[in-house]
Amino acid sequence: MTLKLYGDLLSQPARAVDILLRANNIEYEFEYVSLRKGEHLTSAMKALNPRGQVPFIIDDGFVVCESSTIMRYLCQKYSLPDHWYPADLKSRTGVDTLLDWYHSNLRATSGYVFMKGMQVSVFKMSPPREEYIKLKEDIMLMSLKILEESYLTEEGSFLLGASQPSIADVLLGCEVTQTCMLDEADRERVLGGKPKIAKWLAALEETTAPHFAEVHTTIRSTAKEMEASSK
Amino acid sequence: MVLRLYGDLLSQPTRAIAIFLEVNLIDYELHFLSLTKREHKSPEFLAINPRGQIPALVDDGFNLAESATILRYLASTRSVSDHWYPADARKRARVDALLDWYHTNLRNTAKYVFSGALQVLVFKLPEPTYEEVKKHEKDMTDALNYLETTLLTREGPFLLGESEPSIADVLIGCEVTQLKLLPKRDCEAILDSRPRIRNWLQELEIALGPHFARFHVRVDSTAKFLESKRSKL
Repeated sequence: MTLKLYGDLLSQPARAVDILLRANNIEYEFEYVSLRKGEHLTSAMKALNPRGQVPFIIDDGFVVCESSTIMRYLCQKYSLPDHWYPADLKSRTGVDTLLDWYHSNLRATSGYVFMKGMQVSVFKMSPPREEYIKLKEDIMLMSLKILEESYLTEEGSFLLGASQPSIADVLLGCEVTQTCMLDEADRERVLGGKPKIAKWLAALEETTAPHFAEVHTTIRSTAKEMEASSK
Repeated sequence: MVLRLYGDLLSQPTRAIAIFLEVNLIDYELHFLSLTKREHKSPEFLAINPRGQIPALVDDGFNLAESATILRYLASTRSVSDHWYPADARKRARVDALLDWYHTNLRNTAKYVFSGALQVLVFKLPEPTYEEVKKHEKDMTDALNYLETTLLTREGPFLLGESEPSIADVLIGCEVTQLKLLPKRDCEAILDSRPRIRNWLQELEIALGPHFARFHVRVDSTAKFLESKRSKL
């Protein structure tokens, strides 16, 4: 049975998994689950994945959820080129550290972006409290600073100075691109003066071309619609 | 050079790693850093882990941080039984998913526990707002309910119905034991309504032997200290 990926490309981890699959020519079917319509919480979807979260994959009846777990699994199952998730323990540990760090640090970026925009305009939820926005904002800014100043180096184009991307580059990269949903001034405030991050995203887009850009079509057009409607 | 673990036994991931090392008879030195004295922000420690977070591990000049990464690394570099971190892709994905779930879900237990007496009486920080405490409580309750109803099953004593523990059992177990720092009646109420979690903690204690209790001594004594302070309030 063909591998299936369930997700919504508005969500950054779904994009990351999608890019990994495409960049490696793995045969799969994409099952669109609209977050906006709450389709991830329907009983049909919960029967497949009780956690009610996307993305998840079903590989020959085996359900895998959690984005970094899915990516690790795909690397092992399909014996993907070593740079995605290196076999060498020290290199692998570097990638693992980034994946773990992501959860409790950089992941605040999409939380901030969501609260600043989509929460009200797209998801029609009540506006968040200022304190929550501030909390996410602080964690996001600190994480982006760490990304710029210590995880990206002059040595190579990718995280921890690697010359080729790992699954952490894709996952963290798709988190940072979520900032396309911010208004221009805010985006400049968050990402301005961070040349290494800009260079890294460009390198990621180029190495995985055309997949990175294609998978970002949905979010980039949604961002444009939001910007147009706010004017 | 002998493996060095830096941490504080009030930190749940530090306990998890120390217990894992002991159970697997891996030779190491434990370097205590006091969180209350902010020793994890000292220049000496920042040279080891620039993030200034514990636990951290140094293996023959190789420095590592992040608890799940450390546990995966140890399971891969030391000869330990396969059940800790299975080589089979599907089995490994199940453990990986638990470790990822932990970060964004059950880890909120720590925030709720901390936002109580620990924050004020032990760390001498300002009191959290009512809303903060309520939010952490809801996140924790959701995670504990998921643990009770879905991750623990009737099939086997360990997470996802396994018959032997994985590194996720140790890490998640050491997070749940942090509940001991709540007022005793609150901790009991949480566990009384979740019999599978209670049973799983007992199984874990049996599987991990005396090390589980030994590395919880600091938690137990801090719990007693907090209980005595509370009775005087």
